[in-house]
Amino acid sequence: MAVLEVKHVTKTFGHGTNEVTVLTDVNFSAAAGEVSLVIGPSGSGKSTFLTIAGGIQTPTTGDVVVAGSGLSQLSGKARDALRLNQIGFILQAYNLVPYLTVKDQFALVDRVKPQGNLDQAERRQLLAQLGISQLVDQYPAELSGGQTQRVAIARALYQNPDIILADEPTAALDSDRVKVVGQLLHDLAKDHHKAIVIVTHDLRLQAYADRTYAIMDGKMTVA
Amino acid sequence: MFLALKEIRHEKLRYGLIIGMIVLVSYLVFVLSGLAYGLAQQNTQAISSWRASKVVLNVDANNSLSQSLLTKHDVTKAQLTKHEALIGQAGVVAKAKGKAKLSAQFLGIDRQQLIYQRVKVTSGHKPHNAQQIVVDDSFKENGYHLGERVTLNSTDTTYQIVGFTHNAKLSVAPVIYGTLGAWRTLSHVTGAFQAGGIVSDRATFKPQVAGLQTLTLAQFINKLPGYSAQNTTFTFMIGFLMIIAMVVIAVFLYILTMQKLPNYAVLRAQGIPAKVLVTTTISQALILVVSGLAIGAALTAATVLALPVGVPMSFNLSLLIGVTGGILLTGIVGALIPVKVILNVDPVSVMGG
Repeated sequence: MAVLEVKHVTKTFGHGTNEVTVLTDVNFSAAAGEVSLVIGPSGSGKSTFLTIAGGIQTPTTGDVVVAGSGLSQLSGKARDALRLNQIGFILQAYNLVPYLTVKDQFALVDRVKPQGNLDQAERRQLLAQLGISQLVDQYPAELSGGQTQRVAIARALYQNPDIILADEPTAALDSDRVKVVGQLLHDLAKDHHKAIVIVTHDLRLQAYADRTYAIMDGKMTVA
Repeated sequence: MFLALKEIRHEKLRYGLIIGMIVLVSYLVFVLSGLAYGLAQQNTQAISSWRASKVVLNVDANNSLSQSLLTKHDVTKAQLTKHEALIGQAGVVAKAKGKAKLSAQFLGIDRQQLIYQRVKVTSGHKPHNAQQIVVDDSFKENGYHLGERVTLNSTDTTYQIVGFTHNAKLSVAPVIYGTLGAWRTLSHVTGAFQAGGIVSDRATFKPQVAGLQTLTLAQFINKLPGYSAQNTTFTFMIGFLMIIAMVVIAVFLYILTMQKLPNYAVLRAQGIPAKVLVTTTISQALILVVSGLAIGAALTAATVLALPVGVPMSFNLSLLIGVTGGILLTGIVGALIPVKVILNVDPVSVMGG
């Protein structure tokens, strides 16, 4: 069953002669237990797609339905709550709060969302899987690019969301880590019944996807 | 608060510098306020000790007690009760053998009336005759002692210090309390003049006597030479300082907030409510300002202890509350300015293309 549906979404920016259409009549659905991969080059509209799917931006036309709720019907606060409770974001850059240690990144999640997060044992297991158990007292500035990205993934997963939206999650990772992250996201989908949506241009992740979409000039097709 | 404290702890130098700036601003405001209040006190301490409501002077005295003269006829017509007291003021220079000369204000009072009763001596006793005087404690600080005989101006008469009184200053000069007879001698006026003015603790006291005018205590104080000009100067200085402090603190907090927008955008993307970020910003501003104020107040206290006795720095609770509240308000206003920016932070700005 689809937990995330993008229905006839079009997104335009600007007006008149400056109007640019970034997404054109995009339809997409992600089901629990599946990894969906959206592949496209830079500027193809894949990040805009992700922000609209996650309720950060509103579409010009069309709607996004998350767990049965149309986002266009929700207030800003309700969309915030939905993102906090049901959607985990893994962003391309600026993933971590620079003045919080890795441990405190999780503590922040606990403060704003006291319930429904992974328990301590699950968190330890997650950190171990990602190979970052020993980094809990480090600040982001003390981490390598790959370590930063893995901590950001761990933080998004820690919230235990139903849907995970990942924007280039393997951008800073070597091939071995790509396999780890790909397998982790795949296992999360299968074992924990999560809907995973990854936008990327890293074709190595195709091996872990149940469905692959291609996005080009704002138009999405099944690959 | 969690984010606010964590950030301050991590960015020690940056926030240390901001706290340092607030310390300096609050220290300067505290010291200036203390000096302004201390100087104002030194203008009016003696007057405050009378606990009076009205002062009656000669209409031609230009509101100045030292220039005012009341005849026996004026005094009789004024119909004094136990709530009124006659007083005469004369500027004098006190000197004693081997001691530094001191400029002072001589106040002639009547032993039967309320000012005499309200003068509190810290050592010795009140004057019993025309050759005895009670002087402000600052005489003691200049080496004068009980029993010492002093001359006032160039007269041959000597006066014996029989008592000291605390906080008795008028127009920033120490006060000497003596008799009205001595005042007449020092002012070179004849017996036709009974006093310089009348002080009353009745708010309704207003003698209808031609040639006399009745001032409220506030009017009388405001007309003291230099008092209003001095207070206005300090008020402007402190006011401008507060405004400059507000602008500087607001600019600092604004820049700090702008630097944090990418982080806030990430947090907003993750669904962290804008309220949490606004609370963080305001609580952080409060932590900075309160820390700065506390250190500034401690520095001021240390300065007060280190200053020579003669420096007129003084505080009272309402002054401290006012200054502290003003700086705190400044910080809150400074923190509130970037709130709109935080509320409008765009999570999309941190997403790639």
